[in-house]
Amino acid sequence: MNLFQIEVYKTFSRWRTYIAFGFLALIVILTEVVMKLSAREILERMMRSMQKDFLIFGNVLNGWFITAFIMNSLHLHIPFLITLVAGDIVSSEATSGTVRLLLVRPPSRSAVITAKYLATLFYTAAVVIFLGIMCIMLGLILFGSGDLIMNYATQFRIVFIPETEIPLRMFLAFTAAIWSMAVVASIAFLFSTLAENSIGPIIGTMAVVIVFFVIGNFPFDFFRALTPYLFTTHMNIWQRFLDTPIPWRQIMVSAAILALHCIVLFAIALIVYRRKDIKS
Amino acid sequence: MLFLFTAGVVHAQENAARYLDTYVKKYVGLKDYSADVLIHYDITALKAPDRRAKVYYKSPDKVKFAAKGIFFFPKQGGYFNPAQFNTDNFEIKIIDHVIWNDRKAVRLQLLPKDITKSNQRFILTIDMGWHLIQAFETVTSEGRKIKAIIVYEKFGEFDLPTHIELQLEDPPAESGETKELIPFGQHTKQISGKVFITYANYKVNTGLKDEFFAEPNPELSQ
Repeated sequence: MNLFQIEVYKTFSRWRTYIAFGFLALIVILTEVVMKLSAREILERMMRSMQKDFLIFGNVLNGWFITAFIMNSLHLHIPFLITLVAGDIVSSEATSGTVRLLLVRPPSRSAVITAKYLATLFYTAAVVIFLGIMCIMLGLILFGSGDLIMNYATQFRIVFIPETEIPLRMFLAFTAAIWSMAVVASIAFLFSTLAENSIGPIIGTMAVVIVFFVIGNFPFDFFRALTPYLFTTHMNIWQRFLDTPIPWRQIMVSAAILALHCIVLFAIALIVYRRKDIKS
Repeated sequence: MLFLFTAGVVHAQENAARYLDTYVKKYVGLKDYSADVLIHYDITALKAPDRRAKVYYKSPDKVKFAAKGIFFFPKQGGYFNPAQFNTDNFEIKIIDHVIWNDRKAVRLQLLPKDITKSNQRFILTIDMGWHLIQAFETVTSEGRKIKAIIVYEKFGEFDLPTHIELQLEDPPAESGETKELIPFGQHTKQISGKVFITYANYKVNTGLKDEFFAEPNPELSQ
């Protein structure tokens, strides 16, 4: 086994890793069952504006819509699940006293920290993919398939995506969701290299995400000027793949800004870890 | 004097009703029809590709659609229903005489007699020679304005629409009005823009049964 595989094995050997999966499974099942039971009410609320002027035929409340709805509701909460592992992956070595044992072995500190970072990204991807599979599979079983109607509430827009385009767009949307969650994982990872316990990085990352979200939503010109550079502004990049036409330019800009965040955060973590004075 | 004035008003209303009555009688023989529909949305708030469907109509008011996938169809003015403007149901006034596409036309205002059922008003532009509704405007009970322009072609003995251009207009917002937010991210704001509906492959008086309209709307095959 190489270093990356060892780190992945270690990560998935801890029960804490499965909290996110369990939580997501519970939320998805609960949401979809409740939506199934109150489908008529949801439809009426959802299509209230449209129904004034249009007769609507077809399966609007389908598995694809449910998936987009859950993603829309959860994409602000998934970061907290990501931090459970990302904030723990380096600092837990110090907490458990295994860091010396780890670093006296031949692989360099850079190799060790890179492997841990890649394992963090692997876990992040696994969480998002798990969410996607749960939402889509259960959604299609309970609600069937059909065209996707997306509500963009703040812009008062309804976007219609034909059924044939949806699987590819969903794939791209979930890939983009992994991309944005990687930034949160990177922040937690950096904090984890700085700390000697897991609580600090987890709470610290949550605080950063919340503060950035708040700053991004303040209606003041000073904060508005900062908004384009905040990673939280670009975390909804996944939604852009469910728009018509797909705004590729915006996606490229968001993807670049998110990637830049990941690179800078990992670079700092690498430097910090290489220079770190191991005392435990 | 009062008698003469009243008689004049009654005479004017009879004339107005005559234009509409001629139109309605023209389609007395139209018992049912089916047609292919292609709908194009030019609405900022609704980004949807063109949709196809099949419409089934039976006089006086039964209608059914068969569509592939999700299909939005305008509630007002989207399909042809000559029985909609039965003269018994409206107070009818002549607004003016106009030239519509180089032909003489009359504009009629229709006010519902029984406002408990509907308080929706209509303004119809009727070609005086062909007895066809070339355009109509309506204001819904919510203050929504809808305008339609209709182009016809002859199918058998009937002139039936081949193209309907519908314009949906938002009522003017009152100053200080705020948007109401409701769950699932839908504003109560209304949709404005244009909808273009093209009809083709009419089949007229094929004897569609009432039971057919009681069944759920079927999925249109590819």
